[in-house]
Amino acid sequence: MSEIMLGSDDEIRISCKGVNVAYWDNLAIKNVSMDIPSKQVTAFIGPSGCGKSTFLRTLNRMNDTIDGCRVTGEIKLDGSDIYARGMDTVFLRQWVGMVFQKPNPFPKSIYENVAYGPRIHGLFHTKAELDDIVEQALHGAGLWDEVKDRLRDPGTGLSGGQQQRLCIARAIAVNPEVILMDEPASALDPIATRKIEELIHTLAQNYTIVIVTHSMAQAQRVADKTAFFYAVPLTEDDDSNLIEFGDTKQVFESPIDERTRQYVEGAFG
Amino acid sequence: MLLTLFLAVLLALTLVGYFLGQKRALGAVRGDQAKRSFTTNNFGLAALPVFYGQRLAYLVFLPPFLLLLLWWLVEPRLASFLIDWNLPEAVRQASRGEQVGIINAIREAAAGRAALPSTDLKAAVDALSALSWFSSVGLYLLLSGLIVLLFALGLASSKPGFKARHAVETWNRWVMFGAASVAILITVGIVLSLLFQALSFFQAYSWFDFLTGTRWSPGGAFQRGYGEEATGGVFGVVPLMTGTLLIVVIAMSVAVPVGLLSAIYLGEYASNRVRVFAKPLMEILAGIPTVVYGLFAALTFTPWVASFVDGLSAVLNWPVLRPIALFVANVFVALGNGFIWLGNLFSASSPTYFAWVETIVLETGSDIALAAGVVMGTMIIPFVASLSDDAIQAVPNSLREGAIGMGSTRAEMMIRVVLPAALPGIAGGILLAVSRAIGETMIVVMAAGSFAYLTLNPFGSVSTFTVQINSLLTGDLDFGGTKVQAAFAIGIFLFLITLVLNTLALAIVRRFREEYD
Amino acid sequence: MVQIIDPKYKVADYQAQVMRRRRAKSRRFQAMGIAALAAAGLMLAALLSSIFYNGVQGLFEERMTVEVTFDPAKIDPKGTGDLAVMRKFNFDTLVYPVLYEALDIKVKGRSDRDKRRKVKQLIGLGASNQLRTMIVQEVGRDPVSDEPVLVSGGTQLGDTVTVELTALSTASNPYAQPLRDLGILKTRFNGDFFTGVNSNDPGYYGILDALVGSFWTLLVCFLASFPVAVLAAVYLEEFAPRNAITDFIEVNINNLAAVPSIVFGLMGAFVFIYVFGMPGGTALVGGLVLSLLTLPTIIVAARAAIRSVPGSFREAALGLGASRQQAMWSFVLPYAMPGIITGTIIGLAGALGETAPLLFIGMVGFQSGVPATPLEGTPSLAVGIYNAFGSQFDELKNQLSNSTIIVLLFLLMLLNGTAAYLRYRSEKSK
Ligand SMILES: Nc1ncnc2c1ncn2[C@@H]1O[C@H](COP(=O)(O)OP(=O)(O)OP(=O)(O)O)[C@@H](O)[C@H]1O
Ligand SMILES: [Mg+2]
Repeated sequence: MSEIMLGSDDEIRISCKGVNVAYWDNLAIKNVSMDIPSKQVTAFIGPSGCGKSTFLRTLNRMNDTIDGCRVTGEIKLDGSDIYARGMDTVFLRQWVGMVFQKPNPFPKSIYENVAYGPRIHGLFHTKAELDDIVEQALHGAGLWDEVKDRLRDPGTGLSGGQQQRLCIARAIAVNPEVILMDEPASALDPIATRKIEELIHTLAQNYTIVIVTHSMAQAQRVADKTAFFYAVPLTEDDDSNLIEFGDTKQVFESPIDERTRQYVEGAFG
Repeated sequence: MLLTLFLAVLLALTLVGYFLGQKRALGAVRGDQAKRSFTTNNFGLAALPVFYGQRLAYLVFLPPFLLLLLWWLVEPRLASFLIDWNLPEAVRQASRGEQVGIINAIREAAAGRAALPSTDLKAAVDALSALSWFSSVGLYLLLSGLIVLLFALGLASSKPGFKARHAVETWNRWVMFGAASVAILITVGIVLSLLFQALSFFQAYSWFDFLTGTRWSPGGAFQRGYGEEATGGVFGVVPLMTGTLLIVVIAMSVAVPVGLLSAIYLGEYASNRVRVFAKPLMEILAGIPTVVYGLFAALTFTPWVASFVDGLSAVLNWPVLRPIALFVANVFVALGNGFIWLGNLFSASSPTYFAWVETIVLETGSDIALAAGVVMGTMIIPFVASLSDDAIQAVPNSLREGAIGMGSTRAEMMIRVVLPAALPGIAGGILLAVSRAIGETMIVVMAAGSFAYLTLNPFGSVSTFTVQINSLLTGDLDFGGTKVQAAFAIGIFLFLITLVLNTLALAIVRRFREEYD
Repeated sequence: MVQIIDPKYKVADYQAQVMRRRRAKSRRFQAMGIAALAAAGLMLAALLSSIFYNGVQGLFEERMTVEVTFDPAKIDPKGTGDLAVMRKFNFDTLVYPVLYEALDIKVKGRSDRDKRRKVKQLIGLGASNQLRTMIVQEVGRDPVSDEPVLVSGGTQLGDTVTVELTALSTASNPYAQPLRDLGILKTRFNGDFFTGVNSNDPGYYGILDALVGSFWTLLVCFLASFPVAVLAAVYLEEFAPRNAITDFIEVNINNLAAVPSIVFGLMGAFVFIYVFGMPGGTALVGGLVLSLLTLPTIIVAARAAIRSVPGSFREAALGLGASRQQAMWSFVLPYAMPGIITGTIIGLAGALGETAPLLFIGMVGFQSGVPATPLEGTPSLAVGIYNAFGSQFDELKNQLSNSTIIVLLFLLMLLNGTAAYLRYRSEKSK
C-alpha cells in the first residue's frame, strides 16, 4: 500500500487494515487499508459499482442490517475496533453519523426531525436544552434562518436542498465525531449543491467528513484527501480495490496509477 | 377477590418498577463524571434510563403473569385428574352417568357446599380441596414471593454498565414471537380439538360405517322410527356428501360463468361508466353477510323457485314435450335399476327397484336444493370474478398484442389466447371458490333441508356437512355425547377437504404466477 | 406465376362475409359479458328489494289506543295489596272488554265465541307485560332467597289510563279494519324495535340487546386480535429470522385465512367452553372466537402496510443510532397505521356479519335483557337475524328479521365507508 500516505501532521481518526466486504459470495471490497484523517474531508471516487457506498457503510456498521453482508479486517475509530464483540452500534452511530444520497426526512415536523437523535441518545435533561440543541444543529447546517418560523411544519414540505441540510442538521444534532455522506448532493440542483459543498467545508472545522461523490469537480472543491476505488474483480497484480489514496491535488494532478489518471481525465472530458 | 387484589398489586408494582428502575440506574452514576464513550451515553449509562425502567417492569410483570395464566389453563385439567386418580375402584367400574354424579358430589363437598358423600371418597375430596386452597391462596403467596425476588434481582442488576436496551428488546422480541406463534397455536388448537372429539366419536362409531353409510339420522325420533336402538343415532355421511356436492355444483354453475364473464367483460370491454357501477356491485355482493343471503334464500328465493318449478312441470306436460320428458326420466330409472341390480350381485338382501315413471310431476318441498345453490352461487360470484380478474391481468400484454396484431377480434384474442393462458390461474381460483362453498354455513342452514335425503335431485331437499354440524351443535353442548362428537368428526372432514383444496389452489396459482413473472 | 392462394378467397365479398361472422361472434361474446353482469345485478336487486320491502314493514307497526281500567276486583280480588299476587294476573284480560264493546261483540255467550277468539289474537304476551309493568315491576333478585324483588310500577289499582298497545297479525285479522275505522288502531313507527330486547312477542321484539351484544363482541374481538396481529405482523416483516419456524408460521397464517368459519366455531366451543370453562353464550367467548377469524385478516393487511413503508425512514433512523426496534416503533409503525386500521376495520366488518360460529358457543339469545358487560349471555345482530327467522311461518318475525338486516347493512356500510375514507386519505397524503 505504498500509495497510501498521509502528511505527518494529520491526526488519524479512522484506521482500516485489510478490510474485506462480501455480499453472500461476492466480494465488493477487497483488502482495503487506509487512514482517514481527523477534521478533514476525505472523498471516495470511482466508477459505479466499485464499492464506495459499501465501504462507507462499513465505517458505521450500517451494513449490519443487510442480509448476507460480511465484513472482515480491522477498522479502528480512535483506536477502538468498531467490529469488536460487545461494540454497541447505537453508540458507534452516535459517533459516526450518516447522510444519505436522497434526502430522507422523517414524516414529522422539522423540530422533531432534529430532536429525534438527541431523544434516543438522551442528550438533554430539560426541554430548553433540547430546544437549544435543535437550534444549534439547524444553525450548524445553515438552515436556521430559513426554518426558524416554521419548526412545527413537516420536514417533508421543504425543498430538496433544504431537506438535505435538514438531514445534515439531524446528523450533527447527536454531536458526532465523523459524518459519512453518500453522494449527498447528487439529487440536488447546482445552487443547492453549492450550498451543501460550502456547508461541508464549514463542518470540516469540527468534524471528520467522508464523502462519496461522482463529481470530480466536487471532490476537488471540497476534499482534502481523495481515495480512488476500482471494482472487484481486479487484475492479478492488484491485491486491493483501493487503487490510490492521497492528497486531492496529487490524486487529480499527478496520479500514480494509470487507471486513476484515465478515470480522472475521462471525467474532465 | 384475591385475584383482583393480586392483579392490582402486580400492576402497581410493575409501574413502581418502571420508575424505580430509571431512578436506580441514574442514581448509580450520580456524582461520577458522566462521559460518553463507546459503551456509555451522556448519562454514563449503557442505555437510556427508560430502558432500565422498562426492563424492571417486564421482569416484575411478565413471569408472574404468565405463570398465573398457565395455572388457569391447567387447573381445571388438574382437578379432573386429581379426582380420577383418587377415585375408589368401585366407582371406576360404575356407569358413566353414575360417575358424573359422584364426581359432582365430590366437587360440591370439596367446595364446602355439601357434606362428604362417603368415607371412601375422602381422598379425592381432600386432594380437591387442597388444590382449590392452592389456587385461591397458595398460588398468590407463591407468586408474591416470586415478585419480591424478581424485584430485588432486577434492582440489583440495574447497574450503569448493564445493557438494558438489549434486555428490553430481547423481551420485546419474545413477546412479538409469541404473538406470531398464536397462528400456530390456533392451528394446533383446531387440529387437537377436532381430533380429540373425532377420535372419541370413532371409538363409539365405526369409521367405515361413517364414511360409507348411506343414512344420516343422528336424532332420537327419526332413528327410533327406523327401529334402531335408542342409544345411538346413525351417522353415514354419504347423503351429506351428495347433498354438499349437489349444492356446490349448482352454486359453481352459477358463480363460474357469471363471475368469469363479468371479469372478462369488466377487464376488457367495459367503459369507465359501466365500471363505476359494476365495481360497487361486486363489492356489495362480497360484503353482504351470509346470514343475509340465507334469509333471502329461505324467505324469498325458495318460493320463487317453487313456482318456477311448478311452471316447468306444466311445460314438461305439454303434449309435445311429454313423451320426451317421460323417455328421459325412464332412461334414468333404467340406469338406476341397473346399478341396483349390479350392487345386488354382491349382497343377499332383496332389492327394491324403482318403478317406471308414468306422469311428470316435479315436486318441491319447503326446502329446495336449487334455491340454496343459486343463492350460494350469487354469494360466490364476486369471489370468482376477482380471482379470474387477477389471473387474466397476470397474462402478459405481449400475448394480447401478438393476437391483436395478427388481426384477431377482441373475442378471438380472449378465447384463443388470453383465457388459455390464464386457465391455470382461473382453475386455482375456482378451487378456492369450491372450498369456500363447501364451508359456507348460514345459507344452507336456513335454506337447505335438515333431513339428509340421499338424492341428487336439484328440486328436492338435501342437507350438507355444515347444516348437520350446526344442528348437532346448537342447543345443549354435551361434549361427551356422540352427537356433538359426530359434529367434530364432520368438522375434521371439512377441515381436511378445504385444506387440500386450498393448498392445491395456491400451488396452481403460484406455479402460474412464476411462469409469467 | 404460380398461384399460391386460390383467388376465390380474395373476393371482397367472401372476406366481408367472414369478417361479419367474426364480428358477430365478438359481439355475442360481449353480450354474454353484459348478461353475466346483468344477472349479478338482478340477483343483488332482488336481494336488496326483498330485504327492504319486508324490512321497512317491520319498522312500522299498528298500535291500538285503548282506555284500560285497572280493576282491583280482578287484579287483587282479596285486597291483599301483595305485589306478588298482582303479578300473576293476566293483564291482557283488561283490554278485551274494551275492544268487545267498541266492536259490538257480546262479552258472554256462545254466539260470539269465535269473534272473541279473533279479537284476542290481536293482543300478545308483550301487551300483557306492558300493562303489568304499570302496576308491578321486578327490579332484580334477592341475593339470599333468590326471590324477585318487586316494586310498584307507579299506577294505582282503580286508575283508568289510556295506553298504546302493539297489535299482532293485523294483516289477516277481520277486526283490524273496523278498529282502524274506529280510530283505535293506528300505524306507528316501531320504536320498540330499537329500544326493546328479543322477545317471543313480535310486537315487542327489539334489537337493543343484539346491538349491544354485537358491540361487546366486536370490542372483545378487537382487543384480542388487534395487538396480537400487529405484533405478529411487525415480527414477521421486520425481525423474524428466515428459518423453518418462521416459514411454518407463514404457512399457518395463510391456511387459517382459508379455514371455514364453522371450523373456528367448533374449535372455539371446545377450547373456550369445554377446556377452559368460559361462560357460553357470552360476548367474551363470541369475541374470542371471532378474533380467530379476524387475526389472519389483520396480519395480512398489517404486513402489506408495513411493507409499503419507504425503507429510507428506517435507514435514516438507524443511521442516527436508533435500534431496529426504535426505528420500528417511532417511524415504521406510525406510518403504516392507517393501512393497518383500514385492514382491521374490514376484518371487524366481516366479524360483525359472522353467524355460524356464534351459534355453537351458545350466543342464541335466550336471555332477555341488555348485556351490561361482555360476561353476560347475549345474542349478536347477525344471530338476531337468524333467531327472528327461526319461526319460518311467522310473517311478522320475518319482517323483523329483515329490519335487523337493514340495521346490520347500515352498520357495515358505516364501517366499510370509514375504511374507504381512511384509505383514500392516506393515499392522498402519500
Ligand atoms: N445489498 C446488496 N446485496 C448484494 N450486493 C450488493 C448490495 N449492495 C451492493 N452490492 C454490490 O456490491 C458492489 C458494490 O456496490 P456499491 O453500492 O458499494 O457501489 P458504489 O461504488 O457505491 O456504486 P454507485 O457509484 O453506483 O453508488 C456492487 O457490485 C453491488 O452490486
Ligand atoms: Mg453508491
